[in-house]
Amino acid sequence: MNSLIKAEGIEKKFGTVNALRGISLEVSEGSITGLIGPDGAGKSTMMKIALTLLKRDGGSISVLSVNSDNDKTFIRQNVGYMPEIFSLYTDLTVEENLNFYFTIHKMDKQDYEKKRERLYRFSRLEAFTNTKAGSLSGGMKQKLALSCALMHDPKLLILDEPTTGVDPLSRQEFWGMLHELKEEGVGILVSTPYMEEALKCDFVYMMNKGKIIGEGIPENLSEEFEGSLYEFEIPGRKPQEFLSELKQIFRGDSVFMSGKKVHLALRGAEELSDIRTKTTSLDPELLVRKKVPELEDIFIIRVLAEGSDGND
Amino acid sequence: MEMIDDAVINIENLVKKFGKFTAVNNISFKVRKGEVFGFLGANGAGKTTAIRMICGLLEPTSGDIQVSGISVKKSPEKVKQKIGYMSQKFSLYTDLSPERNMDFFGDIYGVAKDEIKKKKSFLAQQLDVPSLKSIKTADLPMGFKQRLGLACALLHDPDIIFLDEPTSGVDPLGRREFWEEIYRLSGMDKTIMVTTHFMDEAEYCDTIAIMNFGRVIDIASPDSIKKKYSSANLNDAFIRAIEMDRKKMEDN
Ligand SMILES: Nc1ncnc2c1ncn2[C@@H]1O[C@H](COP(=O)(O)OP(=O)(O)OP(=O)(O)O)[C@@H](O)[C@H]1O
Ligand SMILES: [Mg+2]
Repeated sequence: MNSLIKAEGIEKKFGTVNALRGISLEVSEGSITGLIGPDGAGKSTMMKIALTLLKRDGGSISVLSVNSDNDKTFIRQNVGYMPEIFSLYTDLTVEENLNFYFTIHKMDKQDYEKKRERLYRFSRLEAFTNTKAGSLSGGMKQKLALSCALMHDPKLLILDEPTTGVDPLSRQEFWGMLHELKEEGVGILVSTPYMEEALKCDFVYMMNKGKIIGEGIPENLSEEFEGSLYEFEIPGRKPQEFLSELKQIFRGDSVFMSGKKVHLALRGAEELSDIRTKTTSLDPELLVRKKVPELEDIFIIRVLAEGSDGND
Repeated sequence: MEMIDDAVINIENLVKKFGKFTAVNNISFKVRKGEVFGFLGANGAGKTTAIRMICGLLEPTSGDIQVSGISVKKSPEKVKQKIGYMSQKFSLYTDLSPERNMDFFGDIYGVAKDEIKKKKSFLAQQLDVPSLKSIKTADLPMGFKQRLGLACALLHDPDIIFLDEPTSGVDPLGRREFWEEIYRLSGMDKTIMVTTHFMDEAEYCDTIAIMNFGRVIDIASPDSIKKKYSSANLNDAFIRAIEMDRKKMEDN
């Protein structure tokens, strides 16, 4: 498979802050590569460097097989990008916004009709074609901006948290669309705070404090966890009602909510019976199970262990 | 209609039209004192529009809301004192420091100076930062901005709190911290109405309402909603609820 982004040891400083500390990553044709990590991990910075919107302080990178120092214009013209903070023409209608992006990318008219129809199926904005973008709801604006980013036919797409504020059904439809693009050979680099979306990627890089702290096929990332994970539940009670008690008992370990349950991550192995003994003071109905960690668990455990930084 | 005596919010036949377009189409429901009420729905369903009417920021086309027994239509100013509102793209002054933001919002609500000071040090302690003075709000990580937004909405100590997508754009850890704060407030008997597109968060609510196309199509506990749509999780239940409602509308 052809590689569309190949970055090696990327460094970036903002003043005294080390935003990126030796990032190496690769994005291939016909695949979806995910970037996950807490606020301030450096995901957006890495994306902007790939797009030549920011200068790197060290390392090397090639995008679409060209040297990004010499061919900035080529890269900017041939990569589709959806920034985290996007802008729409709020006094133009939905249709006019789409049409604008079509015009600047000099697309074929027939191609436009086809794309437009596909994008409306996802965004459900067809009934709002004549509505001014400024009076759309938050999620509708996000979907319109996404549609604009997908309006041209790039080989490489860079999407920075594209589904923020998008409802669960539209998110599902959006990922269906990304898969179609992938099948057509497009390479996609996408960041997301939704772990269920990270699972839909072919390959994931987990970032924290400017470094990559884990990488692999999403299902395999959880296998690298060496400690043990336990799950607590009290039928008919909410997790917040016994969270703080568990935090007290397991001070120093990672205790966090997960849906209706509370998860406990221990660095070493500990017997289930020991865990039971330690929690006898809680509700007699308390259920304890050993659990295989999911991606979200791994994310939280890793970040809690290292702490996170605060700037992106 | 079911009787709920301890309703602090009572929405009756609420309608909002923008020109010919009906954004909120005759919704009625009650929210009980002290509950965490999750307001879910498809994009554009009308959640933000409904919340803005409940908070007295947008005039309904018809219908009314009682907040703690006070009609929003008759006394919007009285209602505003009782509620805190954090908007979807909340309006902090990003070029000011967090401290100045709190002063500003405190002034608007006429909160006493020493009370503001107390709240500032509480927030600094929660966020584990030495001071809220020397940084620009724009430079704060998203999770911190949301917490500051919440602190500003709480300055006048309201009984009822409206949070419109408080965790959009916040990472998994930040979202959990935010929810722990929601529970702390709920434990103080405050009523909280919150919108979210994260279905694991909806799981933490006492009651959830799902909106589609201006209407409330479901209102029940998370468990009953999952049962109704025979789904193992709320994400699947949500998707089914919206798909079924769309199908019903197309058939009509
Ligand atoms: N000022 C306005 N003028 C015209 N239409 C509006 C206005 N405000 C909202 N609308 C429309 O009302 C509908 C409901 O919008 P609202 O913001 O309430 O949705 P929402 O449920 O909060 O969606 P989201 O999940 O995307 O935030 C949308 O179709 C929107 O375009
Ligand atoms: Mg909204």
